Amino acid sequence: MNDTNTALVDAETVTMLRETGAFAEVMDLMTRSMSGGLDLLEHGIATQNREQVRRVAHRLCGAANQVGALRLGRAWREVEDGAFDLSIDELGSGHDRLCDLWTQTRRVLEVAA
Amino acid sequence: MTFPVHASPNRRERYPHGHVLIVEDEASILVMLKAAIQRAGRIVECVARGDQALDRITAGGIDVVLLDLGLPDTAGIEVLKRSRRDAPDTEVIVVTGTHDLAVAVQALRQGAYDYLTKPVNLSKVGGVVDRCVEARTTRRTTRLSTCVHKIASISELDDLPGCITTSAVAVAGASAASLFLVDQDGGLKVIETQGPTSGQALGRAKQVVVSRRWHRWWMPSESPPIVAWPMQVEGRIIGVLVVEREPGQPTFEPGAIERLGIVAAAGALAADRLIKVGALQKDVNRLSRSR
Repeated sequence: MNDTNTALVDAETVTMLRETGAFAEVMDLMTRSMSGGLDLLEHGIATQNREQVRRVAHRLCGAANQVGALRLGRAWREVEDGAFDLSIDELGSGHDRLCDLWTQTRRVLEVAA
Repeated sequence: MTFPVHASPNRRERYPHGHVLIVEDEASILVMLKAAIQRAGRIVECVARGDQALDRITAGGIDVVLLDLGLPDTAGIEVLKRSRRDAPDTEVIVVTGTHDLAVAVQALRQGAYDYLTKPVNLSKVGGVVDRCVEARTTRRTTRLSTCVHKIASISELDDLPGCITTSAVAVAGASAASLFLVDQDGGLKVIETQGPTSGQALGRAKQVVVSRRWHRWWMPSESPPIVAWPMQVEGRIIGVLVVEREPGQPTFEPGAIERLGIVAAAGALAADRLIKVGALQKDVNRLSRSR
């Protein structure tokens, strides 16, 4: 689950988002969604509720890609695709990686905003 | 013939921008789409669930729905099907992930106008909505023109009532239409009915004749929704055209009432022409007999 070739953030999407005038609000909602989503993912993994894992990963993959958070979106997508196939340990590693990626992405997006 | 002044108020004043409903469960995506579509000059409402979407769509007044197919509570495709059934004049653009294109194809087959893939290109979404609103307006205008042309082309008086009521149902999105004829004493006689009527049509037609004006222009909470239009020739009411929707369906929006008025006017003109033709034919027959 390593993907350093993909850009962390797509500059063009960020520019478009800034032009809508809703960047600050989107960042606020994104922060809440990611925080809640990562908790849900952790819970899904702990209880081995793979459908919950798939569902939250699907939703947040879309959210990440929409703000141009490409690497984060891709990582969520890998969790979504592997929700029923990856081992619980692998999903746990995926969760840790998502936490790191979200921290990095958020920092970049906040600077861009 | 007179035409009530309220029959054709400025369309832009009533529908300045087009009304868009966004159905999306992820709040951050919803805010982005909303901002992009508002920038394109549209009025935007948002809901996060399929059941809320259906309630809002059936309440009326929505021109275009931007529908995420991956909703948590209801399958998006089910929302699309019910929207097409209950609000056929509301266009739907579906939003789907790039790996769900098979669902997008299914959605287009179920009557979606177009589809967008996630992540949605925010600089293009306004244009897609614009094209959808324009297509919807064109379709309605074409349908109205076709109906008016059909009415104007009728050559036998007996064929006219059926054509008027069928047209009224089509242009107003009604479930039923009734056509009443006003006799010389001011009494009313139903001469044609299309679809299931509630029994309130006659009462409403009488109100029109008594008040000598259309009735009613706007009754948002009325159930079943019902609207009656006078058919006038040289200021005299010769008939009343009444349309209804089933109880629980949305009330008639101003555009539908306006289109009904145009059908009523076209019907009155055609009736006047055919009555004159009939009278002339009688004179011709009488003259030819007397020779």
